[in-house]
Amino acid sequence: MSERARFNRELKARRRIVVAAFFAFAGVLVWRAVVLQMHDSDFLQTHGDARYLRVEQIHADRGMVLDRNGEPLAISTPTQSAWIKPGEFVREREHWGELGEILGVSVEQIDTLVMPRLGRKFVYLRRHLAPDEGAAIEKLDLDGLWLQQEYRRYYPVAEVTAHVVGFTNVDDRGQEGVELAFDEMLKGEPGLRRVIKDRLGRVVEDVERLHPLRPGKDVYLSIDERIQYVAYRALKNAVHAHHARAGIMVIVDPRSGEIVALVNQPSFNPNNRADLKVEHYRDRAVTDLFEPGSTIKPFTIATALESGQYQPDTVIDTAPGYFKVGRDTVRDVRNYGTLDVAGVIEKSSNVGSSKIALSMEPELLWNSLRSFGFGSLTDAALPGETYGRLNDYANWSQIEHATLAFGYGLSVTAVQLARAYTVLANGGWMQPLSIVRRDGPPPRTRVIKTSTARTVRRMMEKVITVGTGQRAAVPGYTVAGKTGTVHKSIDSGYAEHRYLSLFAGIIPARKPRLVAVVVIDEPDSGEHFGGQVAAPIFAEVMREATRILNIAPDADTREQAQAVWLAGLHPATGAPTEAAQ
Amino acid sequence: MRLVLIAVLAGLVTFASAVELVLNRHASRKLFVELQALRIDKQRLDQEWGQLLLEQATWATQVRIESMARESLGMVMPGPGQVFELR
Repeated sequence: MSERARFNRELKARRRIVVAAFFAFAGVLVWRAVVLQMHDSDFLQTHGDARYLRVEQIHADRGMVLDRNGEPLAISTPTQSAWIKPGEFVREREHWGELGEILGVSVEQIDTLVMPRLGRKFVYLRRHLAPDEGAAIEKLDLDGLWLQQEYRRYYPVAEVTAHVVGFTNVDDRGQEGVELAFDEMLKGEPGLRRVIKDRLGRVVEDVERLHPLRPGKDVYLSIDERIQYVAYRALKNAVHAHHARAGIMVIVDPRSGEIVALVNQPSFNPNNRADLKVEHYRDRAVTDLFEPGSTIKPFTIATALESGQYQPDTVIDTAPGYFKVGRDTVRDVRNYGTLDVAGVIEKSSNVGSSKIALSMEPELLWNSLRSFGFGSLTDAALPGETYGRLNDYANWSQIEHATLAFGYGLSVTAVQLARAYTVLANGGWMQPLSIVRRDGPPPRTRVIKTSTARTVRRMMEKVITVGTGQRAAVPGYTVAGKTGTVHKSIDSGYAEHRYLSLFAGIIPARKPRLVAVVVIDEPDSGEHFGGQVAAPIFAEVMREATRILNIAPDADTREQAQAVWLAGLHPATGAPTEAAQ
Repeated sequence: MRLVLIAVLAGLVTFASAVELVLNRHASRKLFVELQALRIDKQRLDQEWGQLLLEQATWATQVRIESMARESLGMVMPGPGQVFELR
């Protein structure tokens, strides 16, 4: 019995030990669990998540730039860029030859890229590969070489719209033109989302959206690509034919203030900007100031008519073709004798317009020119627009007052001059210009009476039918216009043999649909008058623009055609085919 | 006896709902994979569309149309007197 009792007692003791051990282990486990759950939980959770939760960026496509009819002018398409981790990539040396063949570089060139950068983790090998290059590189499947999706901007009509549309840099940010002005709108905002990825990097679950994706918006310009092309071609041919330094043409719809075409010469190809100079991509129509010369006379005359001091048939004596203002002399090309107000515009008499200007208060003239927009910006949203210069009348000398009347002593850009002409074309109303398509009528302000605008246009018609601008005639249409030939100002005054040839025109004169300004910088072909150099460009472009826009002819075709033939112009045989690009 | 029955029933219901959860979870994963594939398709189609648009724009440039009209088709601009206006 005692034997058994002792055994029992021993068993009991053993059992206690075992149970105690169990409890001790359980206690340790519970303690550990508590510590993990309560104390280290944040740390562990973060590290756990980090192993499969990822924040991923969702690319926002850059919006397109389109013309007013929806023709694309700038499109982003995906391309691939190759990048390397030099430390790993260097082990694939034996395949560098094949790679070099695809990229068109030698092994030495790859060597000089890789060897000095062995410690780096990310080096671009080549950005924006052609699609077949990307596919070939993918096939090689080299260590330490990856392809990354990027976006490249393409400009299908290239040179034709280069200055208006501008371009983006390699990181897809706008640098010039509309690409710069509307960058915020075009670029959108990339989205951010938190996702769960599996071992192979595939997204298996969308956890949360951190930032909503906002894709870039498309921008519809006011440009009509067809007219833009016609203007581009005509300007390019003219600049070439006259050995000119540069050329500008701006076409505006006066009813809405929309810029229908804006071209510059020389131009550039925005798709290939390897050796691009500011000289080429500067948008001269908004940045370059010039003195408007005779093209300002319609505004001098409009001011005179508005003042009530003059009627269209008021007679001005311009004999003997010059007159003295203080120590200076204002001259005409020849002695026009007595002219009426209309004759001053038709003959482009400096003496006549100076005399008219001097008979008006400086303040009146200044205010009027200001209200036509001289000396202010057009707000057309084109980057880099320069303020025109119009000195305060308080500081005018007698001669400044006189020369202003024929466009010296103030300066404008081509777009500002075009805007001023829209007032004459739009029944005396001024509205801000726009480079984007307008949906509704813009706010407008009255500058002169509708009847004054009509009277001045009638006077300007005679410039085309019998005056200095006969080569701007467009068969079938009434045209109002004004030529200008300006001596370029240089540091020491005015250059003797360097000119700007100008023409500003309105078509149809009786019911205006388009206003255009042509500027040719330093023509050097023997011809330099605005009527010889700039006016024919207007005619060439408008012949086609009226057809494109279906503008009904408003003049007797036979009579007009005859006038054009008599003026020595051979109308509408079509433009040279070697044009453009 | 009744208590046991209730317990068993509750157990069964819980089990069924657990199975249901697993099935739903699986279905959701499957749908998500599909969604992901469709997103990739959409992206690819968008890109293709952009490229086609670009191609179309390049074929349809005024320069090309003009040179084809003049050179291959021998077209000319009608002169004055050749155009008649119908009202």
